[in-house]
Amino acid sequence: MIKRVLKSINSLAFPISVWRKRITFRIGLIITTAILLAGAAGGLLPLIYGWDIGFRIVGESFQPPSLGHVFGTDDLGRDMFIRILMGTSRALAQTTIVIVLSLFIGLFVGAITAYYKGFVEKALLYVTELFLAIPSILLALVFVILFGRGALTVSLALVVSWWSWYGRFAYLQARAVRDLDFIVLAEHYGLPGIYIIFRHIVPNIMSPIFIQALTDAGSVVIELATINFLIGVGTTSIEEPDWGLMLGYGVRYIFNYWWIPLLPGLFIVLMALGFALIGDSLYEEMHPQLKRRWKLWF
Amino acid sequence: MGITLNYVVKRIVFSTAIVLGISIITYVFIYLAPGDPAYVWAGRPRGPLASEAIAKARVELGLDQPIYVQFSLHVFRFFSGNWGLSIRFKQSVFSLVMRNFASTLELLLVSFTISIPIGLLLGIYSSLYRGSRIDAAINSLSIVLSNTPRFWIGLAMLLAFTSLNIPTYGRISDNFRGELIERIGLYLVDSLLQGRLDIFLDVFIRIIPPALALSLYPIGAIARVTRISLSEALQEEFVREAVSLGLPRNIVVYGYALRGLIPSLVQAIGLFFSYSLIEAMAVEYVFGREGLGNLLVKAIPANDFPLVTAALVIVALVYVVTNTVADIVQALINPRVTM
Amino acid sequence: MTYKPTPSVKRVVAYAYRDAITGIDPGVEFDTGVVVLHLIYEPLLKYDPLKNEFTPLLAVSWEKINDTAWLFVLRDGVKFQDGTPLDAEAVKFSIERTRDIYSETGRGPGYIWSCVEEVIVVNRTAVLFKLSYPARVDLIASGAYGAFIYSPKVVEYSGATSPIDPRLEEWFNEGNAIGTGPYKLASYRPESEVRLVKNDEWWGWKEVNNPSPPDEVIVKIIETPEAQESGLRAKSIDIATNIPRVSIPGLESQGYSKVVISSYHNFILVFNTRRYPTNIVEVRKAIAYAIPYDELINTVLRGYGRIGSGLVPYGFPGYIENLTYKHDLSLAQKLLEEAGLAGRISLEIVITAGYEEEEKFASLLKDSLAKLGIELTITSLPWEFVKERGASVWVNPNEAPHLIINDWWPTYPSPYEYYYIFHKDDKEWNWAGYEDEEYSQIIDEAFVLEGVDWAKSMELYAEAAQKIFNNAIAINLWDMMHIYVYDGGKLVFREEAFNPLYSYVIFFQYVEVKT
Repeated sequence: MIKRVLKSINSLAFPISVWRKRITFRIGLIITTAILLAGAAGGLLPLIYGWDIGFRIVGESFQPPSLGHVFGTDDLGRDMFIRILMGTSRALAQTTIVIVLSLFIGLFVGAITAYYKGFVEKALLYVTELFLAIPSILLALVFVILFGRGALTVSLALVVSWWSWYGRFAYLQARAVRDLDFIVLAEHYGLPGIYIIFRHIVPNIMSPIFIQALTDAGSVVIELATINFLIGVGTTSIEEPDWGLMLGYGVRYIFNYWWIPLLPGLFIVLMALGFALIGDSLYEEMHPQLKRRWKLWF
Repeated sequence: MGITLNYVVKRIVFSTAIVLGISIITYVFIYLAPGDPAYVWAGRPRGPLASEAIAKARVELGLDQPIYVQFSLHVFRFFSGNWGLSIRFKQSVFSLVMRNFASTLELLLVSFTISIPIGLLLGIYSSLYRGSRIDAAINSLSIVLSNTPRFWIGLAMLLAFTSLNIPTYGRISDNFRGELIERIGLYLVDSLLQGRLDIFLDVFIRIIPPALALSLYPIGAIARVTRISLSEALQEEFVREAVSLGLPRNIVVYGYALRGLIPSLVQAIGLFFSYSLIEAMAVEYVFGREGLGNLLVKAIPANDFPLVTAALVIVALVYVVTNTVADIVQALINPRVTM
Repeated sequence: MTYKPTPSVKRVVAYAYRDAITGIDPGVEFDTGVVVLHLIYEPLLKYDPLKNEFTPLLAVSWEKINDTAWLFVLRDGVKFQDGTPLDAEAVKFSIERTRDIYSETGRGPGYIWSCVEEVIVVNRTAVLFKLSYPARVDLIASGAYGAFIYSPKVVEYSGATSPIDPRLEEWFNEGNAIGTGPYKLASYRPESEVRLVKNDEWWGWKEVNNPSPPDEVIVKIIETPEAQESGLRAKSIDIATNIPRVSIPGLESQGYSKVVISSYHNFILVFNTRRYPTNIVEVRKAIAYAIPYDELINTVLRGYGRIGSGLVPYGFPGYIENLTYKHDLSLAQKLLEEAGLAGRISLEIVITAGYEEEEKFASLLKDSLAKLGIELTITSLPWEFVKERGASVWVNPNEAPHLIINDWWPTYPSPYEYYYIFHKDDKEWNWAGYEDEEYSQIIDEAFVLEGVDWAKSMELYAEAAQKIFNNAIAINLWDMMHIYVYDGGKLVFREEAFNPLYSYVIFFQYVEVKT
């Protein structure tokens, strides 16, 4: 038991060292933690205050940010702060679904592609490239037509669009690992392919792809927001406190009541930035390169 | 030379497969979608005989036939070059798509002309000064750039330029609209061909802000790819050798190290170009420019399947063509690559 | 390479319109195309319902000979834009074509001419309308749609074989137009912009006496409010029609001006009378009493609009006062109890995406109904999908929404245009699923009487209106006012530039451009 605890503390050593060394990591972590807290708060609000807390008209419309309404009120008199918090939990939930699912699908497909060479490899590569070519907005529309509007539908559509990105990445990584001695040995021993992939290949290619996924979380948030900004199908009703939707409806007030579109936009950027900074600094740490050595040469 | 006949054939087959795939997807998609193309085709009738009008339109569009017949007709006509009339706009689909595509293409080309050099430069500098403050600054900048929604930046630029009284909305000033003779559809080129510098300047000023907004993500992405690849390349043996032989830095970097990057760089650029096609939609929306995005937004709710199919096929073709060009460039530069 | 400075004093006006142009065949076009058509073509007459006044356009005089014959005398010396003169043959051609396309294919506004059995050419400048039943030809000839006169030569130009050959319509939509009006079609891109140039040969310039009309009019298709506002501020649009109402005071303080024109465009909330629980009268009435009417004016319309009374909008023939409900939640509560409804009810409302007023109304209604324990889901769809869901009430009433908003405007000045929506035979637009024999009979009779005994006809219409009101089938929420925000330093609008009967048409011959 104690061994387990010690082990897990040990594995924290890496992130802790990164914290010490890199300011980007610190900034990223702070931002992300703030977002996570906001998301938690947003998730709890309806439980405490009622199912309609996100739509309730609480005051005069178009109030600028003030003590009573920290983020002001929108065009109908709804409190922006509450809506932004709820938007945070939505964004987090959707992004998590997209990243986790596409990561796993991509990992396995990539590993399978690299392991079984020949025809399987070529076929899977084509499939991966095909899905890479399909724009996510189109996929989102198709899913919405087939399955109806909503956050879940669009998230799933995005999974179908994103997995290929990781699939390709995983493939490249797995290719390098595939021909290593211990894999070939395992094969010789007659271990089934699936087992080898699951137990040996995947664990060895996981970390760089994980980090990539973390960095990508930002792009996912932006894509989700863009889809809702342009066509709003990631919600079932125009009332819902979704960042992209709020931006889409709020942008017409940009000239006079700037906080209505600005705030959701700001949060989108913050969330994207937070994840990207963490991911990027972790990547830097994992790939220590010769620093400036050739500055001496030049 | 690495390009073989085999490769060309493979590419053509691939492109056809993609076009076919897109036609299928679009058709099914429109078929399942709510809304009735016959209603739009009939001119949205409101009179007492409206139901008959819609029924007639349904026959005209061939919607009363079984789905596989409809679909084969659709595909056949499409491939034979008859793209038909747009249901929503009642004009030739071909001319509708082409004139809007020209606008989007122009924007993308300008955007990439901006982003490639800047991205490269930033990447090279941050790679050379890796680990230093400059590097951190550039790196953070490129992260921020890649993570900001394009329409947001576009909106900010629009506001900024408007408040400075610099015209940036729309593609061309209204005063010149009637005067420009469109030969190719790329206004920058057409205005020069016509010999009108004033029109050229007007179009140029209007295209820079949206192109800039569009280029921020590619700049960030290209910078990062360059930085990573160049850093790795600079560790190779031959670099050390070159330095020890006394070659000046610039020649080592630009002449040799960069060469090795070009394949992956070109591939990445190709990927970004086709990815940007969709991003261009949001930017065009903000800046009030014509383009494929504008067209699709109006055509989809009207179940205008001829138009939607054509537009999407163009998008897919751009993707395929760009990747093919990227592959060819790689092959040309690096004769060791065989297709 | 030359650098030519901008040519001197060319007056270009850019007019931002929110919806793409649907077509410019003057005999078939029934939708947004009229914004363009009314500048290129002209009908025989123009009508102002508020003043009950006719303005002669292509006809200089007209009289009703008897119940089934009307004589129109045409203006002399008018030429079409291809140089051919306007004559009785052209009038006969245009009107009969519009009528025939409708009767053959059911498309277009030609039904307004169904009463015309034949247009007889009396001489070069006079036509006789021979009717198969009595009708107000003067009102019909001044309609917003389908009353345009165009040259018979278009058949030749387009290579069509007959007036109703579809080839002719295709030709029009490729970007061709031959009318008699003050502007000519220069370029036609229905998805982004339409360009018109001044027709110097127009007969009316002398009468209008406008020293500085626009030389070029560009109708730009800009859908979103923020895009229109940006365009206005960036000076690439001179007239905007879809500015968010709250931004208007801000723009005014910066030097922009506005014109508010009442219109016959209204927004009708329709109840699904075939689906539980809106099939119960008390429930419908309860919802009617739950609507916050005062807030509608303040929050939704920002003061620019008028609460509707009866189906017919204010100022239109057949308008009836005091057919309104009021906001009374306790009354609504009582009605719900009477109906025996308990527990939380879920209702769905479908509105058209992009219509700011509808969206706001729905949100306000949602908030109000929540106080009664009713949960309202708001579904916002593009117009074509809205229509599909509305019409589905006949096919599958339990799939059609409980509430839906239909925005409506008339083709020509007759109350029938509004009452017909709920006729039992109108399966396209009767989204209430209201199938009442008596109602349908009353309004049919009233329609026929229009040409014979106008007063009696209005009485009958009033009866029909009462039925709708008492049964709460549909509520005219508000009569829309169209707000045009424009660059006051550049443009001056004369009164005649706008007419509520011709929605969103700006008669640019009455606009003065300062340079």
